[in-house]
Amino acid sequence: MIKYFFRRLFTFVLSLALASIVIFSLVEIAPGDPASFMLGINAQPDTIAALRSELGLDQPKINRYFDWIGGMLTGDFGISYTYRTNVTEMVGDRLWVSLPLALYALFLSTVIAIPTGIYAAAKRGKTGDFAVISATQLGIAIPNFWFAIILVGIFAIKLQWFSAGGFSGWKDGLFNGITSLTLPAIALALPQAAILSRVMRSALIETLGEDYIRTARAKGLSSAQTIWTHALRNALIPVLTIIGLQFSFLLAGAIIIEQVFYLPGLGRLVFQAITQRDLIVVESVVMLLVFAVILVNFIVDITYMLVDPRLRQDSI
Amino acid sequence: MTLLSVRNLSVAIHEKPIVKDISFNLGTGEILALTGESGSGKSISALALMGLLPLGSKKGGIINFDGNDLNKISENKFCKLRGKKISMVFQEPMTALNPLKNIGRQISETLVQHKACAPNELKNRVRNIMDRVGLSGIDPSRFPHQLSGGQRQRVVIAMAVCLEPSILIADEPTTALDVTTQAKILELLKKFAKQDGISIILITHDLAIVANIANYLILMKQGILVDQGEPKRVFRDLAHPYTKKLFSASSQKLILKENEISEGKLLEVNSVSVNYKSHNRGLFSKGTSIEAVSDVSFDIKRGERLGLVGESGSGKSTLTRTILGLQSTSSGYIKFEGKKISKDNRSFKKNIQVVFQDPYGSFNPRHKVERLIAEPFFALGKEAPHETEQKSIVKEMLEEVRLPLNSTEKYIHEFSGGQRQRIAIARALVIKPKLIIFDEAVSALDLSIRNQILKLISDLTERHGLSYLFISHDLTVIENITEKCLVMKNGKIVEQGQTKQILNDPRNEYTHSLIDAAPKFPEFGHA
Repeated sequence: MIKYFFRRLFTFVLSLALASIVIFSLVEIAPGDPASFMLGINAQPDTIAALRSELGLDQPKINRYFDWIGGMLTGDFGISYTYRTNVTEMVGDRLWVSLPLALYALFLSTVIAIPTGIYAAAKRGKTGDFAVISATQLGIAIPNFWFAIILVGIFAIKLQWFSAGGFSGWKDGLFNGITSLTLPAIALALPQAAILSRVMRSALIETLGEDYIRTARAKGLSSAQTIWTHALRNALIPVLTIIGLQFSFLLAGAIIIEQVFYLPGLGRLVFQAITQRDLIVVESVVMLLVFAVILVNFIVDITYMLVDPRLRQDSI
Repeated sequence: MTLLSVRNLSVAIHEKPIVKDISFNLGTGEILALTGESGSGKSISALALMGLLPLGSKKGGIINFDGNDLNKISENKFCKLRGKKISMVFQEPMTALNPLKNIGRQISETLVQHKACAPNELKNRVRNIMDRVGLSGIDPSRFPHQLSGGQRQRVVIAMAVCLEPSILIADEPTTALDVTTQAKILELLKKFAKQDGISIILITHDLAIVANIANYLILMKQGILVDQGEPKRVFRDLAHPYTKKLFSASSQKLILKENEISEGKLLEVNSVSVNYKSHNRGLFSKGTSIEAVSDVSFDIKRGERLGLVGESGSGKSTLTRTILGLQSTSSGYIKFEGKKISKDNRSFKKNIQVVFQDPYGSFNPRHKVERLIAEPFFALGKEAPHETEQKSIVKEMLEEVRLPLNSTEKYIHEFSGGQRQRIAIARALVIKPKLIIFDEAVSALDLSIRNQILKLISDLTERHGLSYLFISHDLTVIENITEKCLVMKNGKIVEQGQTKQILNDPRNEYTHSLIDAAPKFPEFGHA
């Protein structure tokens, strides 16, 4: 068990190191010198050179890589080329929007998907199953920004329960914060819930066909009892994998939703930084997202171990 | 006293009749054997008694038990009977247990479900029943994957008998197990019938097992009950032609025609050992290695037919893989016609072919049979004959294995198990190899089909002077099809020599126990 844990931990650290090298190299290869971009086309070569040395761009690549990594490890992400402010602060502010939004959406998607998936599997082949399948079909087919627009139309404009966009921050209290994230979270969660619900349904149906389910029924358990006590835990393994992947998507893939609701999130920050050649911001945010994704997958791996005793044994 | 009475039971799945109008009685403490070849409807009948038929099935008739008609009672009521009054043991012990729960919890579940004892007694009850089924030294907190197949089957039996049910249905409980384990499990079932008066419905395809332990026998064929009665009487009278056919199939002896055996060695295996690194390898530790094959030596001369017997885990498969050059040796060597076999030198591959246990799994389902049989030609590369010639060879081979010539245009799923094995043999023969390895090639087949395939192999040997290595866990098969054999245990060869001599007068203790454990027909007094 300990070996499994350390092996996963080792993979975790290794993936981070590799990702950092890839990100750094890609940004290096990308065309466009930040210094000349910042100073405009009429800038004198010596002014550009001066700015380059001020930004540390004249240092050897190896040094810059280690400066960047060292800074990140100590929480110093550097200074933004365009805004001239601390990247740590910029990212921190945005993270307080994006992270709660992703978690909120993930929570909603799980809460919707798991019960509907279980319900459909229990009623497989019947009307209830058909209803869930049709609903999920719709959920997968409709893009989330369309959901977003419809939600705004109904709940913000017609009913006026929520505001149509913007985020006032957490200063006005937890409730206000959550309220302004609710519509975006629902818009993000619905397509994800549709996918997850299908995965839950098919994993559960597959598990219900296993021999040990028949054994449980032969012991006198009702079909509902076998779902709860035997099938569900076995079916959760593929579901966990999808939840892990969805979190990454929700964290990084919310750019369009952030645009629709006018939220100051990470997605928008990256988008702006790329158009302005603010490479230090791009590098830092991308690295942060990669970190989050790898961390979530690490947690999923560890959860597998808690669910499945076969992985707890070190010989496997 | 009649405990269970089944009247005109019929089952249809998706409108297709599977069980047609069968009736029988079961008395207290009786062992009733339900037998027949695959597809005869025996397992479905059992599931009908348990009320656990698959979705989309319809049943008719009356199942009278304890004053209730089990075909009519509500699902709720049935749940109270299952596990308490009627319980069931399944064929595949590897998958019959939930991999995520420890065995103690899975056993206690039956007790908890039927509120059979107080929570503080639970531990003792579980320990008790585990001791009774022969799991005395086993910790209830272990998980299924930490147990052997035989131990898992004991866990399933423990769950089924812990409330001392009136009826225990055992569906091929020993088919997936080794012969020695099989004998012990059957002994255990017998004990429960005798000591606790549990009535047992034993589903099996093995007539020898039936003859040895059942009080009553029901023989089914394609959903119809064709013969029934006390096994002794049924096997003596052989009243029904199907009974006669099955009986003669299971006691059939093949006569191997003598092959011309040349002096030179075709295959030479010289003190071969194969080590596997265990997966238990850390970042810095080397990990231990497991010796799967240990210092094995034997040879096959041209025209010789050699058997290899052993239980699961004895190293048979590793040895096969090594001979095929798919696994490298740790020490020793294998020579084919005087040239060493290794992973790099595979020029011998046009002279060795193999037929596996599961023919379906070894064929590409998207290719037509013509291409499947012609497959070994690809291995020949430039030496392969011209395409038109290949086609005529394939046709020739189909005739040899007695399949219709239009089979070439069909796909593998259109054939039955026996036909697929014929195709596998045709594929093995197509490049006229010098040696064929049959790896449990008839183990998955019904008895009558198995005999047909064995007959085919013996005929082909006669015509082509084949040499082969026949690997099997089944001694009767080895007896029928080989003249020399090896007995393997824990990677070592414990005995080798003439097949007849080994089977009649085994020198080694292990061989002895294998022969003893194999179910045999008692004498029924007919010639």
